[in-house]
Amino acid sequence: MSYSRVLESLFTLPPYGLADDEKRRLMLGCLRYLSHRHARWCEPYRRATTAFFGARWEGRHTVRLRDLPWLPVSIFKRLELRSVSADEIFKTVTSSGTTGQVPSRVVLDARTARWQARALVRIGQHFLGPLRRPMVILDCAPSTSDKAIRSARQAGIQGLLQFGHRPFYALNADLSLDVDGLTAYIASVDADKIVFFGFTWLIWQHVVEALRGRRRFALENALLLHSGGWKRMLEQAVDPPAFRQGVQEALGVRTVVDFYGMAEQVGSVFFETSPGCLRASVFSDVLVRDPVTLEVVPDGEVGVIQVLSVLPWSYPGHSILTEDVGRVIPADSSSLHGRCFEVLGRVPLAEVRGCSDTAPAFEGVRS
Amino acid sequence: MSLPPASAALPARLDACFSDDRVRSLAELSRRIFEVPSLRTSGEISAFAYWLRAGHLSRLEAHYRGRLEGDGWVCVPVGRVFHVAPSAVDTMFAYSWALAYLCGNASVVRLSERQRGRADELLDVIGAWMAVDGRRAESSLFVRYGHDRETTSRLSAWCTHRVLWGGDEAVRSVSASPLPPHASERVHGTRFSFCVLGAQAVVALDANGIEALARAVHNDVFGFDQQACSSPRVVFWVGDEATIAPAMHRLHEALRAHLLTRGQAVAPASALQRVGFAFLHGATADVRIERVDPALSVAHLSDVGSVRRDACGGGYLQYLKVRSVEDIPPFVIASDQTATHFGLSADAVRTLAIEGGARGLDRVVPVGQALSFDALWDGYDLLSDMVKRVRVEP
Repeated sequence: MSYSRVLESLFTLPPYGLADDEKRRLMLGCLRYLSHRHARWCEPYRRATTAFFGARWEGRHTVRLRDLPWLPVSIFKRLELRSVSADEIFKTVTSSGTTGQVPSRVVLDARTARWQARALVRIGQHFLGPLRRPMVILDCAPSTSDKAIRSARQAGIQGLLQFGHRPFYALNADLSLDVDGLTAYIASVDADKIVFFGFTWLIWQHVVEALRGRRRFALENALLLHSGGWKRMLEQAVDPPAFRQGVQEALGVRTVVDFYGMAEQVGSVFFETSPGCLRASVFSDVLVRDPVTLEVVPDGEVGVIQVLSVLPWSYPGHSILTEDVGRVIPADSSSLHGRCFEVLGRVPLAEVRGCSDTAPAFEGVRS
Repeated sequence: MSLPPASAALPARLDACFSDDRVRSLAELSRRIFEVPSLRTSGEISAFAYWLRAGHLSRLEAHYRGRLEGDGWVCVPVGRVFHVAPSAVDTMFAYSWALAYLCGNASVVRLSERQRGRADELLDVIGAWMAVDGRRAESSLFVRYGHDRETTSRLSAWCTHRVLWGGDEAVRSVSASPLPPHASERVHGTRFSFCVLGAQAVVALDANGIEALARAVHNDVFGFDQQACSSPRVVFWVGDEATIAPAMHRLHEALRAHLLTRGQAVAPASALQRVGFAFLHGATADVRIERVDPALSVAHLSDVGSVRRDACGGGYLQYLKVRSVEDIPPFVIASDQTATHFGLSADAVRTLAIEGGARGLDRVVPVGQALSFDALWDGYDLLSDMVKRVRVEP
């Protein structure tokens, strides 16, 4: 059965509807297949995984997900890795480089882009239903930019726009809140169906704080989706419960859903199916490893998050060790399937000491 | 010690080269450092205090009197020295300053903002030492400031000698501030260092011997987080295949044991940085990664072309196998600095120094001594830099 066929069957399932042992088998099969595929078609991937893991993972007797090779997320900042020919590249996704670092670059062919988009639709519809909804983007409208390269912030927004109908950008270019525009928009749509979306920090800073003491909206039945690091939030002593409360005070919204994802594994989106519980969909899985021994830690222990996805066809991004810290949490009593975890922060950046103080460079394309 | 602002009055006091007073002062500083219990845990600061002890200062003085003084000229301080310290090595600023101080100069030392580690603790002791005698503060000023072209230019215009410690970026940045035409400069750019081990000798070591070697290698590799210019990043194993394999095995075993007794936790970020680099290395060259210990990763290289001089440090060694020491010099380039050695014959060491030196090496010293400071550094006599010889004919 071809890989495409296997994936097609996944697209027919409810996004959190695959029982654990079946999921385990499927993940193992798909990721083993992808690891072999990328080893065959992406020379740097083959070399790197052979150098680090030896050839031992390649046997058919690899029975555990944890024994399959992975890549550290940082490699996408240094090399452009691809398993398709240059003319098959459909678009390049870059991450927003944080703290002045070099951004990651990832190349998608038409197939991977399509699969990722469809996975996002399946997952999104679980929360948003099948119909397009009025959408308020808590960000400023995108500037004209090179269509071939999208920053992760725009990519995140792009991905969700497909669920929206008449999207309204609520922030001006200077990130001030367009209160009048927002009020007019809300009056013109079915307010109960509104979906807000934005980045956690921007929402706090430019919406919640901006509205404090000024006015509030009463959108009790609307939904707010948000994503983005908690580092700056925690520096201001705002934790998830405080964020949810702030949103409710400012907008009236009671359903606040966090999600975690990254440019290096677009389509691998982990939504909060209940507060504090980010869940892996049928397309993804999660492992947590000790950063020093690199062994998978027992459930509940803190370590570095590894994200797995069956979707990356055009580049070897199917299994990535991130720089985020977190832990697997026990599944809640809901009827949904898929591993749950929480993100606790980032691994503190190593101090850049060194006689050599020039920043590492993107080395470009290696075929 | 909280440092004065960069706008503070600049020091102007000069003294005779190797004046009794200044020599005694530094010996006192050495004693003061030794008296601070918390500083004894810093190998680097203890090494500096030891270097500063009276016995070693008299050796430096002997070098000065023997090599620098002479008939037909008098030695005077070069005058006003502006030191720009490196970020990777916490104590380098102190050596540089001490040499200038000994030779009677006035110094301004700019510390790196990115400087981590124990530099501040050392500065506290220096601060207390300066407070005792007003003449000390008149001769020396320590400052720390971020990107400030104006201040750097003011200090560069003030000085008669500028010492730039690395890396290359910092050198480029400070070089943009002009020096007065009469001023001299010493630049230490980014350097690269390696280690050479004779496999046969390693195999022949007894239990004490291999333990001592592991300690020495540990000293060289893990000091300053393997980020100093003198930190070895490549190991050349000299011998035949059949001997090299057991030699590596023995050394690794002893290193693991030594790391265990030291019991230092490995920082997650540092471990991940090594992992990230290992994959990059593996992707772009012909290597096999061996995780010898949580603190140490080894990249077995199949050929010299696979060496990456931009390796991350923090416990990452690249191994190359060669049949003889003669195979090493072709690898050496001008920015290489230190080669440490163990298990080589005296002739082999000399060959390495001559052939490697011609291509770029500046130091060939025994394993364990990689990070030891020596006034002969990067091929320059730093003491001589601090002194001006004035021709005099009565």
